Amino acid sequence: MSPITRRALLGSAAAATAVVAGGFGWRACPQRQELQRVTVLGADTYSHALGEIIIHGLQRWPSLVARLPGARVLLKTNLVEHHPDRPINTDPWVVVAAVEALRQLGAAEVIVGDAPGHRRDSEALLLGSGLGSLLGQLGVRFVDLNYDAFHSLPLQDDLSGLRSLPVAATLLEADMVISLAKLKTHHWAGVTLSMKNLFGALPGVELGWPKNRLHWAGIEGVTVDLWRSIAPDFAIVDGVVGMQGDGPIMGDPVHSGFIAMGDHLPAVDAHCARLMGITPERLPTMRLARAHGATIAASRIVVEGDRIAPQDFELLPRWAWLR
Amino acid sequence: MLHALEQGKAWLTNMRNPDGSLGYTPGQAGRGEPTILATGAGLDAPMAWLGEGKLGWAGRLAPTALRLQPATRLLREREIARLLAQRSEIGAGTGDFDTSLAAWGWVPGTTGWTEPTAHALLALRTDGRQGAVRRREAVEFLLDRQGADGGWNYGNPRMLGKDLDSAPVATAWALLALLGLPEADRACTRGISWLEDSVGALPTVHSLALLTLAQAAAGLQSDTTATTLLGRQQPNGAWRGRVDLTALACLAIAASLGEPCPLLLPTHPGGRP
Repeated sequence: MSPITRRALLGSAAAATAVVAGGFGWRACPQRQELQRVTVLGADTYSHALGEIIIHGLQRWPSLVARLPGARVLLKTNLVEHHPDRPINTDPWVVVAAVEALRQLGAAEVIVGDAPGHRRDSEALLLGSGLGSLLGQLGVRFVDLNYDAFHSLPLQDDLSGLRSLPVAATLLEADMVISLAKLKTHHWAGVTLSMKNLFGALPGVELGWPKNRLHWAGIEGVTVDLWRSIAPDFAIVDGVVGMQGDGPIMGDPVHSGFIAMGDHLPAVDAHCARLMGITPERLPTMRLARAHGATIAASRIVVEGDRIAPQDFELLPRWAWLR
Repeated sequence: MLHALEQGKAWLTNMRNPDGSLGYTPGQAGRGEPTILATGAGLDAPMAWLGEGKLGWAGRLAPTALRLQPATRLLREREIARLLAQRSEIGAGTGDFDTSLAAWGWVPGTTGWTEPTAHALLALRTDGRQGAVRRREAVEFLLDRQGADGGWNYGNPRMLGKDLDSAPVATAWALLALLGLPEADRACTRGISWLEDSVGALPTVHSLALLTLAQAAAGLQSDTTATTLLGRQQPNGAWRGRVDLTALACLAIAASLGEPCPLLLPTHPGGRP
């Protein structure tokens, strides 16, 4: 099995320095957070037009685009369950648009992958959602990361206390990883966006369905561990239709009308949370991420693209204090 | 159908690693579930590899899937002893179901879930000599976790006051574990009905194979399910290029043909010796 090539580089002194400097109180001061950038583009419907929107957005990230020619890119979707009336998953049209945009920008191979946390049978999800058919037409490989080979990845910071986690080899061996997430509330985490989406990088055959060991270890710590340790290159959030209320599977659709993207996942998630009417500084995961190098302060995030008005997503009573 | 079965087994045989184990996909290092299911489907048992004890949660499948292979007796006894020593954690309750019931989780230190508990119950029913208390606990757990629609999902039938959807794979394993137990008759009738409807609407390889097995265990004949499953076989003999699914499909076709199938217990309504 090949070594953890690009990921091995991530356990660098630079990252360690950021952690040492990133004590909770120190990072809570917005001025101490590194300046980050998030692109937000209006997107009213799921259609072929999304291809142009996503490529237009990616072109605002020249350092990413420069790395694409010849690269093997893993698009980590959010594929959980299928229900015709609930926007549970990254919409198939967003996946298609991202694939086409990445190919157009020179990616040698785009792989779509996920390790659904509730369902062992990904064929049912691919058939039910229509994603399988669309990927087939594009000649794109879907890798069920639940059954993938894996590497044991040491956790940066080890906030969860799990020391290491099994991470799908296809993801670790890709030249570039993009978290292609869905804009949703989450009954245990408050929200699920590009960082929480990384739970689906871990094979179910090692952790089960659901990956209950992660819940017992604490969702916040695991989420930040995964962000810091996998260090995805980029995030794209499907906010065309989001989920409010009892997410991530039982909530209601809300038309939000945007695609958000950026190379610093906490900043993307923090801005998405604001567009959901949520104060990211109140989200436990965001607070923990901030203490470990994340930028989440509005004053330290440059938002470019289209102006999208925040909406107040319905929140379960247990999360009402997030406003 | 017999030819398809032989083709499937031949593909599995070709997928074996040098040590006899099998991964989920071609070329992958050996894993417990695909190795045990493929062995159950008729491949020679890789005794040295199985004996290394790297089976994890899949070890609970061994007492049932390997029960027709006398050479695996000690291994099966080891796995029975191991599963009897395991007990899931008690999670915090949300009031949606009975979280005080102990069962089996996928990995140590976690709560109980449908499929691992079904594997354990099948194993204890196969062995039949020990674990009477744990058998009762497993039955109670699975009956508690049945969904309002009649099926089972991963193990949370209801969350924060809302009924969650069931899933065919979990439902089929729950049925295989419960069929033939008088206290579960009603639950099984509802479960089979939900499973047949669900798989009919979305016939995937995984769900077709398990429905075929559940129907056979229930003593229900359905050539349609097995025929649809056959139609999904690849020209090379595999199903979806996956070892575990090909092994399950082979077991399902064997059950449909009336051939020996270790997942059908003598105590199932449609059971076999």
